[in-house]
Amino acid sequence: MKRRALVAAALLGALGWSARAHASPADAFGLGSRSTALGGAVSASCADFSANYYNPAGLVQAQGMQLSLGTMWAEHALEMNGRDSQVDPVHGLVGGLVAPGKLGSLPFAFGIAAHLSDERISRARTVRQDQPRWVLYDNRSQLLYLAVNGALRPLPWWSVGGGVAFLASTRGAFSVRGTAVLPNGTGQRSEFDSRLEHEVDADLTSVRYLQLGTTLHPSEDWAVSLAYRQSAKIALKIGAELRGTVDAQILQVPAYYALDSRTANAYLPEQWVLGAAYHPTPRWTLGADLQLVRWSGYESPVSRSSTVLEVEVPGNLVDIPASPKPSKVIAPGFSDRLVPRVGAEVRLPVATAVELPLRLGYALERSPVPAQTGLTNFVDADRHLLSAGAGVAWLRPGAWLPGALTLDLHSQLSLLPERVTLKQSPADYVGDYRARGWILNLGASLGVAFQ
Amino acid sequence: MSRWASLLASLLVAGCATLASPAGDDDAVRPNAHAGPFRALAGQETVGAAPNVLVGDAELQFEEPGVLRRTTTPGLGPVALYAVTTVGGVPGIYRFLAEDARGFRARPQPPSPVLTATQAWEGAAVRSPAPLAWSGKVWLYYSTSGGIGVAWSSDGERFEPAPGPALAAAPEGWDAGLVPAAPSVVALPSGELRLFYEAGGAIGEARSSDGLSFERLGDAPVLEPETVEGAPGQLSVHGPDAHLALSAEGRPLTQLYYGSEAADGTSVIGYAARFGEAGSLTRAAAPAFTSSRNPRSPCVVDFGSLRLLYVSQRAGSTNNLRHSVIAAGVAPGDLKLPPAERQP
Repeated sequence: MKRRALVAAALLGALGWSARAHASPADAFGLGSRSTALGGAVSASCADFSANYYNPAGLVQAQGMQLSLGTMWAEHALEMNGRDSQVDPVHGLVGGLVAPGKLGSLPFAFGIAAHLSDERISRARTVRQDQPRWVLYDNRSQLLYLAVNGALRPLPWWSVGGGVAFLASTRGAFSVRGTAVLPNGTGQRSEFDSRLEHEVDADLTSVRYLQLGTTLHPSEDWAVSLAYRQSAKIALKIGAELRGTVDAQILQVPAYYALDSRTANAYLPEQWVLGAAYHPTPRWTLGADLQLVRWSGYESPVSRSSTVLEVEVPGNLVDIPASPKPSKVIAPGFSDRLVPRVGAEVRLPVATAVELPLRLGYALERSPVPAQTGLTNFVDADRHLLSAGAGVAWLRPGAWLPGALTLDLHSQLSLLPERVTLKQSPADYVGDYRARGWILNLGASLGVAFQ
Repeated sequence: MSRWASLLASLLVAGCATLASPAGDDDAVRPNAHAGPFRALAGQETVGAAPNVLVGDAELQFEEPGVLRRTTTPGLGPVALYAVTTVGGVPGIYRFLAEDARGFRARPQPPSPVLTATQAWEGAAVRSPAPLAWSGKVWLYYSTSGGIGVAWSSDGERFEPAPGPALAAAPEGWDAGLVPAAPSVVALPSGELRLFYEAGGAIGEARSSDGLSFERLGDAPVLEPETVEGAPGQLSVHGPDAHLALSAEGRPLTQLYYGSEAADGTSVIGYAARFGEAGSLTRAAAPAFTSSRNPRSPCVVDFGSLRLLYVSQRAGSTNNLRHSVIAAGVAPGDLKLPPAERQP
């Protein structure tokens, strides 16, 4: 009874924390080699650590404890007007565990999954809204992702699960104080004679968001599921302050400059996923997902900044520029999108206790970004995801492992057909452009399953 | 079990221990119409105190630049800069040369003015030189108190002025009685010439087939001062500088840079354009160039992958630097130019 109460409290606590949230590499590239190879059409069939992302209810389908560890590497070949946009690659470790058990008389499972970039925990950057950028690829996937979930099977044909996902977030400030020396051009006084102190204060914090899922098994051959992922946003807030004196030799000029900048550094849209899985034979699994992605809530990644400059020069000897006007951020106007996903898997027996799984998958992500005919330049294109995978499963390798040892490989090719942007204004400083490209995602996962 | 947990933990720690590389797209070449906004040249991008490229003193002032490329090779190359140069209070149009488009000396070549007011209709002075390479000659349009004049040359050094104005004050129309000034001329692919000029704080357009005599187009200015809510109202738009270009998708553009003076006494360089050769001009969302030194009289030169903007503005921000100099900017603004080399 005490154990059940602890689990319930943990789940309620998770629900209570998830006020607002965040963005994830799993959205862009999938999680785990098996699920990625199946095009992400696994919400009704996943039972490994990837269920922590696709559908937490799937955790309780695991037959025993599972440990998985893998890696993924995604290279962008995205271009504008025929020139490489140099979007950073994404690579890191992917892994997790599933620990099934009993909660009273009910089957219960606990799961953890993580995508850990091997370059950075979090990345924060902001650009002008007129600067062309692959808005869904330059920041979104450069994050640490961690999900913790629990699942219950109250009835033999019904399971539910939920938990929270965590993303890393950054906030910070810096200040500069002291005296800045104006050079007099004779070499006797230099800006290097300035005495300035600076202070940097940066915090790495986490943001959390809710994940829920449920799976029904109306028959042994069929499963249907519904999964939900809460909307999430990583905000970047930077404050800067310069306070000091400008030393012009004949006079000392007090000066004050303040900057306040707020940016939605990354955004994860709310998602609803309706899935189905069918097993025509014990060796075959066919899956289909229909995902509603609520991109309409997308918040512009453009910095909202305001500045104050206060300098009092005696006698009006020097022209001081006026304080810059606060930036006006244009609403991005993204649209909700339905993303269809399909996948197929067959497990071929190749030797005693050895299986060779083969997988194919496809998904179509239509771009949520409207035609960029105005001032903004959020570059994007429709995305066709073609995926394939293979692996080997060594069942009951010996008394030392009463379960299975698995190795799964995946490749995922994203094709982004050319999209032409024609500007409405002939005086647009960016002008017309074409954008297209492809993304190659390769990876492998090693798994150990205990009975 | 504990061995697997140890392995997992070790790999996670190893993954965390690697150092991040810088964001890779900082140097990416992004779409850019090369029309602006312009960044003021800085550091060694000029031979003197950047962004100034042609500097004198209170007794030697330079203004109203008109620049002509001396080669068609892509990239920064030799240019001839024609500017109104006031020596001891006497203005004239002089020519200055630079091999890299920036390293000018304050010593004209030739040392005497290439054009002065010599005809009665021109009045006392010639101003606003606007050179154009067309039909195998260098055509130099200029302002006078009697209208817009034109002179031509085979070497860009010795000019022969036309006996009368190419465009004089109009007897009727939106600029009736106003003397046109500050010319800028472009040659259309059809061979026709288009003249943009300043009159009464607005900008008008005219056309010509021979370059010697122009006929006004339309019954209204192509660009007028604009009032924007929350901003100082524009008093005038002046000093037009016109260009023809193609968008990245091959759409023909007529581009116009201009000086814009506000009611609070400040001025910036504006930019407007239109698709094709006719019709109204659309302003850009932001100025093409801003400076606290009140830039005016823009002249933009296209070098292929970049453009340089020449303006006349105050030499500096302090009271002892109020004299007029020629300064320069570059677009795209994220380009860094090689160090400038002074003209021998």
